[in-house]
Amino acid sequence: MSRSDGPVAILFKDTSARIAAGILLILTLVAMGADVLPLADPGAVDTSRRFAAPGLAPATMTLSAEDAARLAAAPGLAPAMRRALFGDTVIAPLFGTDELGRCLLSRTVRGFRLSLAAAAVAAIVTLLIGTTVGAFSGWKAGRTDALVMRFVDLADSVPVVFIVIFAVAFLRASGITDPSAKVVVFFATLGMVSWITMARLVRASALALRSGAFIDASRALGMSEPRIVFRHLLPNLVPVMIVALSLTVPRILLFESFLSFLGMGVEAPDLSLGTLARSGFAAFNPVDPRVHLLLVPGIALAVLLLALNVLGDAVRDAADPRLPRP
Amino acid sequence: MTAATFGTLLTAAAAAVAAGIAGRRLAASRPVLGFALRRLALVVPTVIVVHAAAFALMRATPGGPFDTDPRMDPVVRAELAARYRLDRPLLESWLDSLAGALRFDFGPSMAWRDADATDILLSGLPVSAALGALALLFAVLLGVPAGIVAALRRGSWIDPVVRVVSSLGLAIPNFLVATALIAAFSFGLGWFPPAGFGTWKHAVLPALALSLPVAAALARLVRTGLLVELPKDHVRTARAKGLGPARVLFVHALPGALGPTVAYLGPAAATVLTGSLVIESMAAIPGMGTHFVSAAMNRDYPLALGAVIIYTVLVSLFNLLADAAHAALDPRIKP
Repeated sequence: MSRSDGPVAILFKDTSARIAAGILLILTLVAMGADVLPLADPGAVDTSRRFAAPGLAPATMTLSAEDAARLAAAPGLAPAMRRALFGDTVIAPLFGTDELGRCLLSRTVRGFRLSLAAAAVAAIVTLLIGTTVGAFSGWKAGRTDALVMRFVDLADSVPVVFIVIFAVAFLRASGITDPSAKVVVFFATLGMVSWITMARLVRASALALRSGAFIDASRALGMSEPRIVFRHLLPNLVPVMIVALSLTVPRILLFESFLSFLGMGVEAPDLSLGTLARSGFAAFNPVDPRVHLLLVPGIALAVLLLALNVLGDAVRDAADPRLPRP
Repeated sequence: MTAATFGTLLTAAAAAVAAGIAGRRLAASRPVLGFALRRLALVVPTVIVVHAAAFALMRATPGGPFDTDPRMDPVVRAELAARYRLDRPLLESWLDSLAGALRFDFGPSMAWRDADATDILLSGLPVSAALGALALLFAVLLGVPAGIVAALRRGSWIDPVVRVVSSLGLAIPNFLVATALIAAFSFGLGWFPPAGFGTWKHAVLPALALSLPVAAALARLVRTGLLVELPKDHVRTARAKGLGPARVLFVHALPGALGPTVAYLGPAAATVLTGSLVIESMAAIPGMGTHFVSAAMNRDYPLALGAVIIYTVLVSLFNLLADAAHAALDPRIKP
């Protein structure tokens, strides 16, 4: 490896990081393209096949007449692409069906999409709050920094799960009726309680950078303070933001599934991996455990988190210049 | 505001300030004790912040806790509101509730109308504490030896296995682990009951499910710590003067490697307490987690608030103990 290799090159020299990144890319593409793929309607009830076990044969089926009519009538680009690519073909419930005979594969893809959206929204909120607090504290240094960091310490000892559960109760009773707005507010709440890691790491980095020669040079050139902060400090904080995200995003995903599993997160008819696992647990019993209802969303979540953790470990290693390179 | 409220708030503030000042004075002569006192002083403001956030969210939620029954007579509802002091001005009821929280007196429960929230929580606390202690014990017994073996046998097949299993342990959600354990050991082998509480057998599976993420994190921390410590000069010297491998490991290498592990036990306690919300509800264990979840659902304000305050104090104390132990182990750490 040459000395000039950037962190990205170092990162992708690591085989496990490459595999993890590949898995994440495929999963994200599947989730984003869910409307184009020939998946069954996640809400389509078919009581003749309740609790069907997973199986590979038959792999595809033909849409029922009413589902085909609904697909033909669906507006927008994605259904049109689906009609052009796959016609009336639909993937059979390879992962089995739930208590109403709904296709678990299609439901898991939708749940996966919502869980990813949760992570994305929460990550943006985390970035906004954490970077603002951390960069401000580190840039100001001295007394302001000490004061802000005591506040961060205080916020860190708050048991956030409980506060989020109260916030969810508040959200449920509040006047918001649009379900998608409710979900977005819930995700943003997750971000609002997860910014501490971001703030700490960004602050430490900003504190180290503010006495750097390039900052002195910018000042000597007569640049205004906002210009120095936005043009010179913030771009140099991006690596540490990525490191903080690699720590925070898996936690947010676990948090979302945990709350949804408790019945305090995403509400029906919206699907997340947590709500799927919840209904799987409701169907779990000693006579007929129907484990696929729990295993499918659970394994999907575990694969996602494992890929994120492996990639995160590699990102942190690549971002740490002190580490010896193999 | 009653005299009792005023007295409690004043006492708590005075105690916090006194602990803070004493901690600052002792910082030079007894650094660990001074550190512990300063952190203890922070518990009071933390409780105030958490209480304020929870209280604000509860009170801002539209509708009251007694609105669930539409047939209830308005007169009865007004009487109930008066009994639970919901009809007082907001500031007064906030201060009263805060003072009660600082005394660990949370008032009568709204869902179990004849019981005191404090009594309900105190009945759940030993159950949750036993479960949590067992989970931490399992985590240490599983995680620390795994980390040691992985570090000592670096390069053999054991190291990658421990790394993969610990990554999985961090990635698999608690509720999935619990279900897998129930399916295997309860439905399959019939060794342990799937749910309920009473005998030690009931606690094994939930504690195991709670312990896995902590064990995974411990294994990683111990492994990294030992890998840094083993090549150091003092370990080589110990080995060179003919000490046995066990003595080199436990007396010379491990103490220096365990700092971050000990510091992690604070967050570990928080992880276990959080996880117990799900695990207790799943296995129908009558602990604080179950009480909190049902209280939050039923809008039982005093009970939910009490659970939050007790959890806050517990997590603060665990963090304090872990950090103090870390500072005592490693004199380079400036608390």
